[in-house]
Amino acid sequence: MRWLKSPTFLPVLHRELRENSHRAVNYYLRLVAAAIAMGLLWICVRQVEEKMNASGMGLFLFSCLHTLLLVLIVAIVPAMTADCISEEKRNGTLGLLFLTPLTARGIMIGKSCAHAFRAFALWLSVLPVLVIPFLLGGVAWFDVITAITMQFCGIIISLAAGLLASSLFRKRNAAYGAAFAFGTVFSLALAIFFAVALVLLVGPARGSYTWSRSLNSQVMQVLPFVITGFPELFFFGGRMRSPVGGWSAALSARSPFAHTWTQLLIASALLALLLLFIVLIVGAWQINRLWRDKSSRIPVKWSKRFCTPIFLHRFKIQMRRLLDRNPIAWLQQYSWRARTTKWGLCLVFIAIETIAVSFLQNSFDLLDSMITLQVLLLFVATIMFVFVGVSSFQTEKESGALELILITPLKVSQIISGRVYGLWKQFLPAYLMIATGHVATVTLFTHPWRGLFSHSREDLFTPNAMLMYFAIALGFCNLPMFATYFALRVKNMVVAGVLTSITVYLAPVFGVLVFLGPLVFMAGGHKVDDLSFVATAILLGNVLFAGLTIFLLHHSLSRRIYSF
Amino acid sequence: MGLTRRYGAMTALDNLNLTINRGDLFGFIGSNGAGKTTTLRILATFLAPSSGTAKVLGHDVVKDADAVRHVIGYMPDFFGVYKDMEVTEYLDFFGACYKIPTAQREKTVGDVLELVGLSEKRGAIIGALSRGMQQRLGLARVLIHDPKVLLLDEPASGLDPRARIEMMAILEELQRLGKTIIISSHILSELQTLCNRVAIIERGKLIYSGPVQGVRDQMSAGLIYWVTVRGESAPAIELLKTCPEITDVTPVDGQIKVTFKSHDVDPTFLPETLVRGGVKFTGLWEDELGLEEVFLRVTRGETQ
Repeated sequence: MRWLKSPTFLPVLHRELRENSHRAVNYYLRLVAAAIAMGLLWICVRQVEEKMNASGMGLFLFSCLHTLLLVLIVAIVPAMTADCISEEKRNGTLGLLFLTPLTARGIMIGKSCAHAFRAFALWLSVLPVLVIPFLLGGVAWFDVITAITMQFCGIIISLAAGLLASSLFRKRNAAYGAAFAFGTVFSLALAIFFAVALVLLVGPARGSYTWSRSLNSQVMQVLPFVITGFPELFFFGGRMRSPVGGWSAALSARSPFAHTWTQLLIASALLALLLLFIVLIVGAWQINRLWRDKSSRIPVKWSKRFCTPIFLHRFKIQMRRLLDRNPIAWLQQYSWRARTTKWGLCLVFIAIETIAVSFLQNSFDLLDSMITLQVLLLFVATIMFVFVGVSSFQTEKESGALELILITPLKVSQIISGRVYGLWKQFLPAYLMIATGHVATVTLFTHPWRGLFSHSREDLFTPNAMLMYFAIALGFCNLPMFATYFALRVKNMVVAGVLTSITVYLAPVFGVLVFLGPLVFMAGGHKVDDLSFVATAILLGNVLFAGLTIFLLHHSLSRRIYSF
Repeated sequence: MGLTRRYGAMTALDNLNLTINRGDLFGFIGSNGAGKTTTLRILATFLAPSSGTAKVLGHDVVKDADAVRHVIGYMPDFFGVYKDMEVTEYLDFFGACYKIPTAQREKTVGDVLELVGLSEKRGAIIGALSRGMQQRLGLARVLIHDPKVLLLDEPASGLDPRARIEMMAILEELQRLGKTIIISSHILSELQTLCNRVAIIERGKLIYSGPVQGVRDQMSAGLIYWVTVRGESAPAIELLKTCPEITDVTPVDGQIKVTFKSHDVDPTFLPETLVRGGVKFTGLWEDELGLEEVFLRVTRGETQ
């Protein structure tokens, strides 16, 4: 523990805080987080039933905002920390730090403190919005303490994930990917620990809900309640304690629950801190070991051995054709990493769906579970699509290769189409895999002779569902354009990713808000819920956004306006 | 002509008028922030001038940018490489960008790698190459489409002495092949021997443009010669002071510095005068004003 007393981390902390104070993105991020919270508050208020009283509404809003805050923490904090050490490795500044009396542990502690301050500042920016439901009433101190403890755990775990990834990897993309992967694994592990401990210590609640199933099922049932505080998902004594939500309402039913809950909260916070402590030690060991080595030759050997396509000749011809047709599209696929991402993602999705079907084959809610899983896979694929999309031009901007491409005779339209085509081609197999899995699930598991499931094939091919598929397909088509544009204009990759995601979801909403009314009016006052109108409005919104993005992208590249 | 580029309130290039002849190896000299890179980026069609025009082989860099891109090869002061690509892949990619047919591209890649001395590294990953090799790769990329004009921004920076000499030899060879080369560099001693013409730029303004010898003549107050004599130098100094062609005679470290009124004076009368005056004359040589000294005299080291 001697090194904890040592102040060697202070120069790093000082430098990091000064550097962060100059980064506009920190201030914008806080504003955006508060704006998202306000937006969600508005959406929730609109969703609340008219009959609901103020306290019920307060509890409902509190649960929604707490969930949002957790999602924001898990999404933003790893991204904030993922590149903090790997960037220093790439720039060669890590070695310079080691020429001073600073130690690896000092560097890790300094970095973790600085990023913890950033994360808590972000949390504080959303806190005032969280106070609104508290002031509405219905939210007990118990709920507040539970929420704050969970958010604290979320921040610490995400911080640990980002730091670990950053200390392990040198390349930015690898560090970001690993940070999100570690963050997801750590968060799930802690939530599952909490749920398992709760079920084991207190025992399953009795009531109308069937608790005779396995521990696994009980944990899966408790888990959403643990995270969100919605007791609709967790029945105590056969009835809900509150019509809207909140831990206090549910847990006050039986005092042992509340007592165990409190103990588990403390245990979770301690576990999160322990995890961070371990990560600091592992990370310090790792950077101490690797800061001298610029690059290892082993991965090159491995890549040549394991990532060279088997049908090399045919593959070379195919790649050469692509290079002749559009060199920028070729750029998206030449590396073994890109190919591994492309086909690896498909492989992982197949594996996950196969495992899920094997485990859940006797479960009577297999179809629901599979659809939930497919939605999650779609979410993961979209996140990766956004990430790869925004990192494409970022890398070229940093290396200066974009400048070299722009002075070749390639036309701006070729550069844009090449990039967009390359991104589509990279992610199309993964999306097709999810779509195929979905169709297969719906077709096979609602087959009449199975006769076990709550959903029917017709339920999943309703006009509403078709509209959803249509919106997803349009989102897939437009995403590379948005990602390419924001990659070009925004310096920070995380901000570019967030803006891309927002735009993807904004396009259909904008279409419905702006075009639906005029469309209905022009058609002579058809019903507003006529889905063909909604589909047309979504299509128009997407076309408008895509057109505008292409115009701006063309303008930026022609005028060489991009951020460094 | 009248090339100006502004970045907000700052003027990076101020009414630059410059002509570079075909086949020139033209040195572009200036302090950091003087406007050299801005000029090269405008010529490379990467930047548009705020006002004025620039033409490369008769093509306007703004109106006829496509034609310009075909005839120029631009090597910036950074590498601009994809570190996880192989050397041949990198050149193949840029060859495709310049629309070189597939069959021809393979041979061209081999040729340019041969020219820059990277043939043995054709299968290497770029990230594993040394700085000097990456610099050579940059030059190979510039040459891939056989451009007529090369714009090289600090091509020898960061290279070791051997690599620098080799780079200069390659540039001389390229000039012999008829390329027009515009090279910006801080290593003035090399530009002095390499370039036939130079331009000196400071704070975005052109200070001098012309032959290397011309700038020396322009910058030196007069023709300077050094004289050495055996024994006391005082009689020699007295003798030289009587000559009407000489403006100044100064003893420096046992030698005599003689400054003539103009560059047109024939200095051969000096030994004759000294010998006739009974001075034991031992040597006479011209003071060569180096490009570095000229640069220091011309510029005030002001940056923007």
